[in-house]
Amino acid sequence: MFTVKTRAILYGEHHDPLQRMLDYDYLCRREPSVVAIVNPARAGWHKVFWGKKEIVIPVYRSLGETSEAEVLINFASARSAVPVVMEGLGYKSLRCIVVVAEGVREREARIMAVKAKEKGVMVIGPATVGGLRAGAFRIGNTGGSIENIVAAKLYRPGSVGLVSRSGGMLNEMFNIIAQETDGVVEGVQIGGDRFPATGFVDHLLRFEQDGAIKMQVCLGEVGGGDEVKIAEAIEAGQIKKPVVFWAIGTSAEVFSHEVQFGHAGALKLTEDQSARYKNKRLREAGAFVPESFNDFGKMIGAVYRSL
Amino acid sequence: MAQRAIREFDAKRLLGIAGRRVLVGSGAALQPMAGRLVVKSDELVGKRGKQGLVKIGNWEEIEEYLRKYRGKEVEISGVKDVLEYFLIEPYVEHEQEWFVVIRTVKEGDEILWSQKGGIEVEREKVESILVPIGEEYEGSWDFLRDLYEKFVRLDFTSLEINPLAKIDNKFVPLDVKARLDDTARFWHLKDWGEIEFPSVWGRKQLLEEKLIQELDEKSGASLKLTVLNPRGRIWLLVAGGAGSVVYADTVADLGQAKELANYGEYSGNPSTEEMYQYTKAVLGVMLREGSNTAGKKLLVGGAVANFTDVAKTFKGMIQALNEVSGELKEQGIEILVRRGGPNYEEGLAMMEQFGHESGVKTRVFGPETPMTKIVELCLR
Repeated sequence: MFTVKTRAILYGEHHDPLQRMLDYDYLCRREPSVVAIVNPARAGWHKVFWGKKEIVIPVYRSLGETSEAEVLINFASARSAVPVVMEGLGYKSLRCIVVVAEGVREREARIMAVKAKEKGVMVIGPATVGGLRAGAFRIGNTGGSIENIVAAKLYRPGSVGLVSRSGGMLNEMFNIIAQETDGVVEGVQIGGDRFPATGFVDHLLRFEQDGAIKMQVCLGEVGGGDEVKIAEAIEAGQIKKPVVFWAIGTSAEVFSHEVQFGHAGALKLTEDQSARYKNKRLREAGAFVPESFNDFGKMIGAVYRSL
Repeated sequence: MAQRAIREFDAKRLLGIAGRRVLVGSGAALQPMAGRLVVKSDELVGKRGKQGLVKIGNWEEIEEYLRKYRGKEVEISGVKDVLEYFLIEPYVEHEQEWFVVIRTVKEGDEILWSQKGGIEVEREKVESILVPIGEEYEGSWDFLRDLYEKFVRLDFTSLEINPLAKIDNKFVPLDVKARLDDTARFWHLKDWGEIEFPSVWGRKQLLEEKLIQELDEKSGASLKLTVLNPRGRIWLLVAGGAGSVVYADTVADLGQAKELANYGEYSGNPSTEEMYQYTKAVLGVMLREGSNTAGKKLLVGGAVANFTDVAKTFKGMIQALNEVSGELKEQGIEILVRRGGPNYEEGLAMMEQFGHESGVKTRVFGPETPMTKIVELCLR
């Protein structure tokens, strides 16, 4: 899906993620990945650093005026994010659309997911920072500052595929994985909402076909049923590469009343959505599941060394 | 935001269920109603029938019931809280009880119903269908078709009508439980009208929690605060929707769940001012309870941020810490910091400086230290 040739359009003229993407491209010695910016309020050029010199990226008023690209990074607000995706689904070259906004209506998000699937377009999000293909392509702010990119060895591929519900924890996992293994090949944040357009299994099945990925790491959470589908895919033989898994939110059970954690999707509605159940279910299916988050890194290291 | 429960009164109002219906708050004056009535507590709590929180009778009996329960503290499923809201409506004479549940799953909306009994119907008598997302319910049951149309149009995320009274060919919902998708509020300013998302049973919102909720609703960033045990030792001032959960989990894993004072998180790069307000709220509750002999700890934790500016957010935090540094010292509170991300070196240096200048015991760690290490350290 993402290579050193991947081109992206940013919907929304956001300087910081744009600069971070270009700094990453420069570090990876590839061409600038962002080919166009859409800003309904103005057309023109956006100045950005490319190494030490300045370059400009064209700004258009609408998606229809932009040049071809494979990825649309949609920074539109929760109220207008889905119409932007629907428009994007009409452009043949786009293969992936990222929805950054938090607070998209659940019904709209579900309709968007169905339409995208019909069109064969991979939507990541809503409520996501995106993801990163090590040494090839970075979505927006994923991976943080350039110092962190270097510290977590994200400028060149390792052996691990990573899928996380959370963005902050995606970056934390990049660091843990860099300490315990030779690093990640690709990491994706599916987003913390109740209904992410693509879930754990969608990405794990994609990673399963990816020759560079030798093992998979998943960080799930209390709430929703997405993690249980990983267990089903392992049992059905669709996922054969080792999966190291942990679902956070085990403490939800010890509180005397319902607590809505930070992510909109992080609330257990039925028993099988609890973190404890998910960890147990994945362990039974043959995934590597530690006793607590503290041991997650160690288990990732052990599985890596046994490859 | 998320799926949030509403009062039965509001659920029935949104569904347009006929009949005079009154929501009695804690202070409101009572207007007598005629006929045979039913009154029930309208808090977010289940098993009302079993708890004796439903009463059928004439107005005098209803008044007597209210005198007994209004503003009273009761214990339900081991959790104590004050009964504040009651729903009064006409009693519906009926013989047959059905039930209907609509809930959302990724692929569509799941509808479950039974024509053979309400509250305690056996599993095998429940029928169900899945309406794929974007499609319509095409069954022949008019009541359900109308109900489902409202469910979709008004952005409900779950609806439970149990029991549903069947009187000849008419259906009257008796008990209704519902959740709305509160991200849809903007689209429903008119048809939702005045709507409140009450806190769950057992935890009436503190002033500080309310302030943070309001701040969160106005902000593009995310700010959450839930006080679990104001007398607890371990206080979280942590970043990240999931990172914060990892901290809560670790406290529980180390057998200290009862000592966890709050759950909270900030994320999405909040401004310095927002961080000042947020920190002030957490410290406000923390200091109010006074010192704890075992020593209170404030965990300023977080993962390695993608784009939240550590220096900027810490600046707001330190502003609030400085205002109460005397009290922090007096109560012997220790601060443990672990954070990484954009401008983290500057942020961590600011925290160390705060410790030196204020005399508040402060230990600072960066991304090279595992994020949950500070939990372990604070319990030693």
